[in-house]
Amino acid sequence: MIKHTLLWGLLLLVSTLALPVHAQLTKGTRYWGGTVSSQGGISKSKGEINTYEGKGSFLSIQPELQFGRFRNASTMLGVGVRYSFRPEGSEDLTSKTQYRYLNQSIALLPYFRKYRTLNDRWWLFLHTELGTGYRWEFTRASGVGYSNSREAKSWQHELGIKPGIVYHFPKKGWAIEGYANILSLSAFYTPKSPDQHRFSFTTNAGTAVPRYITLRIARYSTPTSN
Amino acid sequence: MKKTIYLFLLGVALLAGNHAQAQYQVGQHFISGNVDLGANRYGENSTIHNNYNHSLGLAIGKFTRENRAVGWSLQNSVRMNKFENYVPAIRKVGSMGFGLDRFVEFYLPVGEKFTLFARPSLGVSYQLQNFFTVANSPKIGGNWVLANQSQRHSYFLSVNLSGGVLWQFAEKWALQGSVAGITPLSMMFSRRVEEEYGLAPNTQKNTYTQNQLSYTLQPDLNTGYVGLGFRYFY
Repeated sequence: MIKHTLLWGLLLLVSTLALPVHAQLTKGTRYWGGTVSSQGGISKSKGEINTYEGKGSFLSIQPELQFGRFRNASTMLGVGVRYSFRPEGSEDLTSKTQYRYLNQSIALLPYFRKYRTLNDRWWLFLHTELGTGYRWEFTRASGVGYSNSREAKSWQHELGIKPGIVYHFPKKGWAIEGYANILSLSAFYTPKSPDQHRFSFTTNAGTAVPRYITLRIARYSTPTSN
Repeated sequence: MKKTIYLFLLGVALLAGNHAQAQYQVGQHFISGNVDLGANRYGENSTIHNNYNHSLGLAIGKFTRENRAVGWSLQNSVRMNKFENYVPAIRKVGSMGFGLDRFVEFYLPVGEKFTLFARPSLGVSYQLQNFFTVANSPKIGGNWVLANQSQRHSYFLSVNLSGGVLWQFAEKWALQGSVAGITPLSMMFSRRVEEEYGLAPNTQKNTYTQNQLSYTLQPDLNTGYVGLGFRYFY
């Protein structure tokens, strides 16, 4: 069964690849792409017998933006910015205690991409990024007569290699793309203090595609003249 | 493995171009459904667990153009559990859900028997969930003691997009497979009531209520499911 579908797929793929390719990517083509995910909520709680009243809230916004320029028809160089903002809070109205938490991080990730155009609409690419991020965390717990706060900061260095797929609307220049994560590699290095480091290295290879692929919107534009 | 192949096929089939003609007629109707049933019985020493689950889906649609249909779909799912030897008794319904969707389907025929579809929809749904926690205490009279039980009612409003393949294996019948889906935007209201029991049973329980309102904006494509169902055209 699987063999048949694979064969069928390969056949189609070959027949597609055999078509003349009208690549639109040229030296100087400009690129920008981005995605955002966000979550938020408010809650109210109440306890009977053990009298309790409280409320809480949380928010998370994670935008990512990338800019780039093609060096030639298949190579793009660019830089990406990833930012994350996550505040959280809760309040116990019965004992008059409050808790606040804020987590922010920003990462600057220069990258290069190698493209392969299948036809006008479908392109594949391999994205390699190497960059540095800074994370800032703040916690405060306060109540009647006391207030404790704590801050933590850390640097993180990151290397990622991930393949992606693009669906391009040729007339408008817009595209939808996602990292396919069929094969990916990422390494994180977190220096916590001069004598404490953390290193994590993750690879993912094979056909077990991760369940989620984050989609991003992108635009490829060719400057008409200069 | 299969998911990848299907995704791959979906991509490849889209690559193959738009050379085929439309297969459907304006005014034609379809009805489609999917059923999933499961039951399990598990025993260990004197403890016996039984569970049962089902998930049902029904959709009706009408072709408004050769390559477009609109319709409604209904879903229902239930999971029942029976646990013995717990005090207080664990609720029998593990979860239960109902959903109603208004959808539009766009079709792209690939060859004579296969059609790709994309299905944006707007849905409302309700879900009931029951949870429990077993207390970290010795058994009483041969029964495990529960620390708490809680019940959550959730109401959702969501925007969805899913896609898949239709295989027209007979004139009026098709097998449909949904391969990937995305819920970019959803809103939820939930109410959770938790009953906290004392360490020994029969002490007065403390009730705790939480209301929550939340939203999710998540441009994540979920490739992890293959939903199969049948479709009849009339």
